Amino acid sequence: MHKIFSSKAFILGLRLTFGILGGYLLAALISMFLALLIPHPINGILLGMLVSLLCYPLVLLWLLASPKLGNSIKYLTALIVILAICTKLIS
Amino acid sequence: MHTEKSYSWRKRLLPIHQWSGLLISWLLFVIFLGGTLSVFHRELDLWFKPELPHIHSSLNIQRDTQAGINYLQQHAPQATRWQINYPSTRQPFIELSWSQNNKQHQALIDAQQPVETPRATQGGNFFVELHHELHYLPPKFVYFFLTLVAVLALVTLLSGVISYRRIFTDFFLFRRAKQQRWFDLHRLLALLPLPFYLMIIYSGLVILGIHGVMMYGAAAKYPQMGQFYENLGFFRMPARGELTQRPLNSVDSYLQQGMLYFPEQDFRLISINNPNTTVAKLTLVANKEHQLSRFAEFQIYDLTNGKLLTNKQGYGWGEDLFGATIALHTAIFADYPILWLYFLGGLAGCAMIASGTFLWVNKRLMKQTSTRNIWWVDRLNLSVILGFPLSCLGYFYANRLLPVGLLERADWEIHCLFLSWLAIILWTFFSSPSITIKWKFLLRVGAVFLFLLPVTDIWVGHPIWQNIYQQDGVYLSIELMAWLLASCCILAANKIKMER
Repeated sequence: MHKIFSSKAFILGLRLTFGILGGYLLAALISMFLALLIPHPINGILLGMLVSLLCYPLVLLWLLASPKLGNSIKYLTALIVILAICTKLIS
Repeated sequence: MHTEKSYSWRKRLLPIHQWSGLLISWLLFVIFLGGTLSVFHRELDLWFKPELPHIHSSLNIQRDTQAGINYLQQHAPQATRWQINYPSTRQPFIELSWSQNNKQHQALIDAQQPVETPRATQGGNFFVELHHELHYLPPKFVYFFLTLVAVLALVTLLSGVISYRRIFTDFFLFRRAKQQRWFDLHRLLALLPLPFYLMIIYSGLVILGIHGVMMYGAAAKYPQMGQFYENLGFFRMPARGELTQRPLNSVDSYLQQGMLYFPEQDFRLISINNPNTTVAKLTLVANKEHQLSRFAEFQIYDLTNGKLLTNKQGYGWGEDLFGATIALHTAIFADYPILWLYFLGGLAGCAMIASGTFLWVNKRLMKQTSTRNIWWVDRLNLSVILGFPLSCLGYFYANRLLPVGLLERADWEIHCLFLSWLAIILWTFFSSPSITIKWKFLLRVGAVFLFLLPVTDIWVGHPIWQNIYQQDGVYLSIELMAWLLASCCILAANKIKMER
């Protein structure tokens, strides 16, 4: 069992899963946050989409290449929580 | 300390580049090739419909609108939406499209001869659909799946650029040794059009975003998503349901009224939602040809009482930025030199993906490791990198060879593409010859079919000598491109050495 959890393929799978799901969640929150922050009925939504889709691959790359996966997950979770609170506050 | 840190980053990024690249390479190749061919989808439409008259009428908004409406009244009176695209420099015919029973239909007609050609085909539009919907699969699922592929493609590109240390100093280095040769080619094809790849993949991602993948901002602001799309100019129509019938009024007065508002006094298209009902609405969209924006000014009229419902004049900075991003991907602003650059960029992308997968195999062959992986990758390379373009050629042949009166002919043309691809995949995986012999054989088959493609134009009344005489750029370009590719196939088949 220990062998499976410490194998390269398992770690890569973990990084991919966190990168894809975490990155998507963060991107979705960024798009909502910017849409609500900018009062214009369309501009904020479109800018949010542009910025969030730029962030998504960068987050995935960060999660895939970071030296310590645990630390990256911590920072990503913190970012997601902060953004979620901010979005809730301005909504 | 700093150097060590950056070295370790590079070291970590290299396997990410290799494995994420390999994982998406075959699907990305299909998407890139579909996109490359759809650059000229309007021109391919003309080739796929050889019965269209060679001499076409010049643009006349009123006459073309009437011809379009007459045709649609005759063929699709019950459609939920009609759209009439006016002739342009790239598409000299009136392009009609309509939605009926959740299916999109399309026809090209000329104002003087408003009859559809008998050859039912999806033409160049199939490549557009393949590029972003992959055909056969449910679009919602495909949009999410393609988003993942596009994100991984960006990760692969960025990790490749960062992980290779001497990327600019070795830019023009070209070595003869086998493995280095593939590496140098891959690097050159990746770096030279790098801004194009970044732009095309990112803008593709944005298009997928607006198709529902990243609509959380709009969902947070609009309780009814339809309102957002209408504000943007993506016209969503109400479901047909039980609507009261009412004959359609003449739209001439609206066209004249619209011309006063738009600075160029010109329209790109008009659409009618729920025609022949009491809730019919007419949308006039201004012509913004050669402008870097997806969005154009538009007006919406209620056809029952003649009221102007919406008069969209000018967009905000967000819409302009977003519209420019989409326009960059779809190249709607481009004229022929730019379109050829897009085409070459797309071909370079295909070649970059192919050289990357060859490099992956060669590296492992030299180390003599993981023979099972090599067996799979080798066969997948052959079935996708050569097999898929060959089956696209099958689609071209199906257009010429299938009987004109065949039931559901347009669908069968597409089935022919996928059936021929399936045959190639099965042959690649289950036949006994070595992989090198298979490459040589398929390249030669491809060369023969490419060489004979212009011959098929003879029996649809477009022989090459006539195309030269009439200076028909579309036919001549396709014929010359076919012969050029045939020569490349022969050269490649002769170059492949019996190494394995």
